[in-house]
Amino acid sequence: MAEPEIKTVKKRRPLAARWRRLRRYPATLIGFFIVGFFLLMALIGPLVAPYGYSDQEMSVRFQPPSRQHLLGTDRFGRDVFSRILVGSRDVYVVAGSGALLAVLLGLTLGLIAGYFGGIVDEILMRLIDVLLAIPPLLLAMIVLFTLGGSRMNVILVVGILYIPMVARVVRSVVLDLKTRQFVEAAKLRGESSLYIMFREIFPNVLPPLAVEASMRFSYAIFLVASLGFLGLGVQPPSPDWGLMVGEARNYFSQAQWALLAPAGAMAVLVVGVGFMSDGLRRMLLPGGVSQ
Amino acid sequence: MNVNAADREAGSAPVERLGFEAEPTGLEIRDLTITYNTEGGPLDTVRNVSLSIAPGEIYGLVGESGSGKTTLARGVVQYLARNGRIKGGNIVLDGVDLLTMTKPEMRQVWGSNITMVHQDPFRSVNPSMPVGGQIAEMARIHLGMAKAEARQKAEEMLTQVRMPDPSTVARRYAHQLSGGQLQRVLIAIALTTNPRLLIMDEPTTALDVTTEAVILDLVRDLLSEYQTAVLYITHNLGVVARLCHRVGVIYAGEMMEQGPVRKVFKEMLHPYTLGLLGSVPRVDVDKRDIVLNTIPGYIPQPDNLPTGCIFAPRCLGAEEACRAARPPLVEADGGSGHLTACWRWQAVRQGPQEFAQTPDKREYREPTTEDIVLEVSQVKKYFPVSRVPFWDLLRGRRPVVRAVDDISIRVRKSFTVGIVGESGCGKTTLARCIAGLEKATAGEILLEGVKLRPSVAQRPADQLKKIQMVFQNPDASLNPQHTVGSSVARPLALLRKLSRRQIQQRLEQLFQAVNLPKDYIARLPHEISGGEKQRVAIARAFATDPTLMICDEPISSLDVSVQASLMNMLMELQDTKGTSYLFISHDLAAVRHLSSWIAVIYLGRLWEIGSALDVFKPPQHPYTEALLSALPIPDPDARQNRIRLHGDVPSAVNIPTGCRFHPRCPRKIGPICEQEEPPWHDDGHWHRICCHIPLEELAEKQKVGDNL
Amino acid sequence: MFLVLLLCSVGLIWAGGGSEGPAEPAKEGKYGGILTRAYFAPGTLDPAFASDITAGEICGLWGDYLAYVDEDLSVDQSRSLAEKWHVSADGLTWTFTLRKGVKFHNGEEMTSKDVKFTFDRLRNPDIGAATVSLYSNIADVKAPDAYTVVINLKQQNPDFLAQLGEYQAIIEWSGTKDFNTEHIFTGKFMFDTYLPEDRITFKRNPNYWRKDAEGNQLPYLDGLDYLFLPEPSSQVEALRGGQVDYLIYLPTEYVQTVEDDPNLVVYQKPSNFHYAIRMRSDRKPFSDVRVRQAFRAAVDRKEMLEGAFDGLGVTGRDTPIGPGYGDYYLDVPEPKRDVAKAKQLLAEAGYAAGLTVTLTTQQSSAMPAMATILKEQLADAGVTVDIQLVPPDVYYGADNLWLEADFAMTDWGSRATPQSYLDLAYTCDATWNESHYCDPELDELAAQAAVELDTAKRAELYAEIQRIFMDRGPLIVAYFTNNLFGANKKLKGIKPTSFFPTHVDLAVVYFED
Repeated sequence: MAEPEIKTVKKRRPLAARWRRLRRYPATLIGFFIVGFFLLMALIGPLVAPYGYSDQEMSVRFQPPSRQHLLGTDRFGRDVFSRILVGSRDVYVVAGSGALLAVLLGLTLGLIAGYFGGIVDEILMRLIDVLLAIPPLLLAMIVLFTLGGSRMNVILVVGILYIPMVARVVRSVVLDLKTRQFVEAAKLRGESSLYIMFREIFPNVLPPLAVEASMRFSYAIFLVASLGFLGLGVQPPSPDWGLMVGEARNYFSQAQWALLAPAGAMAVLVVGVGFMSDGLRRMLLPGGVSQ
Repeated sequence: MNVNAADREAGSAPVERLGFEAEPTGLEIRDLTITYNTEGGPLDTVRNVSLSIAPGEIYGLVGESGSGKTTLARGVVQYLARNGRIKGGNIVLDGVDLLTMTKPEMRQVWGSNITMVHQDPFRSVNPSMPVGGQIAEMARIHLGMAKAEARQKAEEMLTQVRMPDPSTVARRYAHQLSGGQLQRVLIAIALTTNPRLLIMDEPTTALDVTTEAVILDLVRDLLSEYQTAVLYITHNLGVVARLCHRVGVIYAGEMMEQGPVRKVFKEMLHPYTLGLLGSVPRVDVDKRDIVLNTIPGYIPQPDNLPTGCIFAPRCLGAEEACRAARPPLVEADGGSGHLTACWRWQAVRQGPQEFAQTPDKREYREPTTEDIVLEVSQVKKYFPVSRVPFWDLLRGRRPVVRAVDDISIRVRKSFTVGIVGESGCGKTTLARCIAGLEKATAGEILLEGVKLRPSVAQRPADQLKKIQMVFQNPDASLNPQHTVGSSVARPLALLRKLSRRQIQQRLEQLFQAVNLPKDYIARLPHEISGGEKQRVAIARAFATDPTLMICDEPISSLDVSVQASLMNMLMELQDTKGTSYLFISHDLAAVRHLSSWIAVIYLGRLWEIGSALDVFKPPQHPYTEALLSALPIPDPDARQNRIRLHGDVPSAVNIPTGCRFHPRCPRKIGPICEQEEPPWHDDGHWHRICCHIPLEELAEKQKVGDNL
Repeated sequence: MFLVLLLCSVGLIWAGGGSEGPAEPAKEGKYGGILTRAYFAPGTLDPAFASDITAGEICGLWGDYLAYVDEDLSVDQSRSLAEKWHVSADGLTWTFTLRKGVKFHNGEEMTSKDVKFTFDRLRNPDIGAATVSLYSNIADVKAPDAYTVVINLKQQNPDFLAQLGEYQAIIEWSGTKDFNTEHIFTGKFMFDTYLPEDRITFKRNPNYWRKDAEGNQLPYLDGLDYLFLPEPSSQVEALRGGQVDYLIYLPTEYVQTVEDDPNLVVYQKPSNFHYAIRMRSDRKPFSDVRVRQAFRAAVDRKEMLEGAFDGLGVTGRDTPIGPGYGDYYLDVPEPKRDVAKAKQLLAEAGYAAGLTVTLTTQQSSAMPAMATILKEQLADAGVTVDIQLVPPDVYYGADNLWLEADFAMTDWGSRATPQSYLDLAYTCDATWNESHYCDPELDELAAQAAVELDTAKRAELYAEIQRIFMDRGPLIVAYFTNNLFGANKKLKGIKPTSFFPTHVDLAVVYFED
């Protein structure tokens, strides 16, 4: 009898193939590009910017965009384009760290609440509801007024404010996962709760968590910009985009570009993050994109 | 089926406008090819399929998962996914080529001339509308009836589908009915407009076997009164044998064999059909004589089809000619209507053994010889009911769901004990109590003489090593983010504390034992098929060399041929390793084949226990008898008793008094069944039945019907 | 968010001020019309406790002063309630003759007992008005007859008359029991309605004692609506929209906008308002005079004036005394920026490697911009400035941040006399000595100037004081601002003032089509 060969059913899809697949979704690629561009600027912005971010030159105040100043100058004669490039660092450091903090704390809370259930879940979820009930900007303002505005405090505030959303997402995924049979198989082996939470459940939480994390990043960008606009948490002459908008507001009739440029940069970045998170989801799910 | 207001206004009788012939001529599909636009390019998932169904005929379309049968059905009604389209061929129903119709015309056809019954009844009905109203809706829209008339028609249809108390049921909502009842409603909806074509897509797969039998009876009896052409899609060969007039076997999008049921089942002319039929365990054959054929290899993907016969890579009798060119569908013995797509069909007819991979018969051992490995004594598991009516709480009544209500059973070393029952009988709960995933409310469980703590978290590691479990859903049993190798290696590391190198060695051994190639070790679950995943789960369970393995419906979600290979594998492993199995399933044939000892469970209690040889022969408990007679056997000539259970399984909260089977028992003898709990009778050979009817009487009564 | 606020404010004004705009005045020549003003809501209506700008302005609307300080910071007898006055030879006794026939809003005539009542109240420590320390020099107030008031001082005070014109010192009716609900004064406008958080309205006083040059009775206006709008942007929008006729403290960024508007006009007058960049001189690093001198050398005052205040002012000389004080101002050329000298001084002081300081100031008006410019200018000299902006109520809050910080910037209003600044902030034990500067020589000179009646000698003393400031003082004063007013062109007769901007005389303004 002939021995028929065993053919494999599905081919492995390595990361490279997943990247190539993303080419079908131009929006996602645009998103990655935007986020990557600003990330690059966050790293090397001060090196590649044509002018220093705080170089004042009174003689060239309120210049419209030109060859020398791609996005014009502001009331102090500072180059707006350079300030935007250098300001990317603030965005990533402050908004990024804040979002990261929220994700880490929210992940832990969500894992614990979802896995243990019962009274632990109840208590944690009620606490989170309390946090959710307070309008974010209001809470941020109160905290910063009391503690004083510094970068660290802004990061802390952002981090704490966004814990609830992350925790909820994680918790709902955990609730679904913990009834799956591979978790029961783990229990049958006598695995500790810690192992099950972090080695069995957590890797499956990662894809939705990654998406939620990038959404938090977008929200954090806005929150930090709002705080900067109000003058909380950043001091001049910081090229924080929110602060730039706030400073440019009074001179809008004389220098529209000084306000539109940072506002536009914010909008572009947030949209980019949104596109990118879509692609992240596709990439991270095992099995890649479904038809 | 989309019906919108425009159609409603169109009213009744658009039939003439569409050109259907007054005298039905049935469905004829010629050379149909359906293609999907995927990111890898266009894929033809159904290729050159031709079949015909005469009016009043039930045509069974049989195939495994991925064969294209559902795609074909959707193609007929032109309800394909967005990226699918019909590439070629025609579909002619009563003289009209459906492919020439426009979308609005098609919408008129749906519901009036073509109807469909789907697999999952709960997903197919509108949950917010009473079921009677949904039937009436069909009548109003497609038959143009007025409201009152339609309501009457609805009740009429419910009576036709033998719904008890049709007027009350008509007012009920979907969630208030059982699966079986809902499926009847769906059939009623489908037949309201007296369609020309009725497509039934696995309508009984989600039902219990006793309910399934009733529905199958209904379908057969009902459809004999209608002139509807029926396309019945299923993977269950027994159902085809019982119900259908003609059958078509479809594999990887192409028709392999087609013809009258009797001819095809008795004289298979294609190696695939041979393999399929040979891989189903039979309950009408002596257990010791059963061997399951297996079909090696896998279904090819539509983007990677072999040249020549698409079955050739898996065919044991394939020759050069087979690999060179695609065999056409030819008629064997002119005029028989029996077609096959095989170059060597005559050889298949003459010497089928050349084409089948038949393992050797297994040696039979008496199941009472070895030591007892697991002893379950009077185990009970009660769940508190979550939503209790307030007044009951006040009165101190706290109702419980008595999922497992006093069960005792023994498992001996390297034997398999099978527990068979329908859904909700408590078999899974029992398994989970033994495993420790649920804490038993009462009773004792002893493993090799040592008492087991009720919860798995309290059990010491050496006990955990000895009991392992294989679950039903292969997709959920493996962590999708871990490689299958690491899933199997973990218990090795944790419970057997092996070194790295030892683990690697052991891994390779285990994978080999479950017939998986070594390079699978690094794969992720989504990269392997369902059957392979289940093998990995079995390998993982065997990693700790358990004394007892609990298998909770491990093969139910897999294809027929894959089930066979897994069953063979399980038996082989038992022979080599000496592990005992506790095999839990609703599939009687599989349980009978695998187990040496069988227990029948209903509403949390056991009713019959005995060796596998004894249990499925008279004397039998009436419930076992009903189960057996309900089971469709893949042999159109098989004669079975028609014993049907009526009503539904009672809720485990309100257990009937006396013998809890009495409301449905076809052999109920009288008030004693309602008042007293029945005693156990023993036939002296460890075969015990719990019934008020003594054994001799049972044997007498059951001999009258056809014995198995 | 800003846009929403703006829309809401405009909507508010529309709703609130729409129907009662300056639209249809009953005109006979100059008479008629209701003037609409807008600014922050007042803290209190009791003149003794008036401390914010609106409260101060309201005082001037419904009240009159014994001695009226005019637009050029001198006392104008024609607008004072005292007809004439003279001081004794020793400078300690002031005798005032009151006008006759001046009526309070309730019809009663103003007499000396009302004046005595007012000043006794203002200097009574039990009542605790803000003016207690200001009038602590008054020994007693006597009212020998109905139209004569005699005030005895403890020490001679050349600025005494001007002090009588402090905005709180309106003459009150002695029969008033509750100053929060009764508002009986002699002023051009009478109290009409008060809606807290919304507006206060006034109507003209038909019995007002002042007359214009042709003998017509003042005021011309029928009344005044004072809307409470805290946001400068909304005030400007209201001005442009016609709901408001006249604004004070116009922010520099809106000057261009208002000037460009064909219906509006901007009035300017130099004032003594300045931002004092003060260095705390009782500890390092600023205790070393070389560091202070280095800082002064490193700044470019003109650039700061241009950059932060759009050039609407004059540069300062690092003293609190500005050109508005006429002869008292020491006019020297603006010091040139000398970064090299700054670096050298810092090196001498031991900061060759650089110096880092924190600048604390408020998040309002031009201060953030000034901080930004200052930071850059000092960076050239090797000084790193960390800016710390705080809201005004934190700056002046319970912790008195503005008095404690090492390096800060404080806004100082335009006062009637230079002496006020010295007494308040630059003598060794001044209550508000935020720079902690203690120079015995300065104290001696200030004490002399406080009592020097001869203007020439006084000017000499002030000149000496200013030299001290320029050489070794604790301040950088980059510029003095102009008072900026925005008004509708229809509004005539506005005379911008160098004093508090609230002191514009509204009795003589009128609408013209």
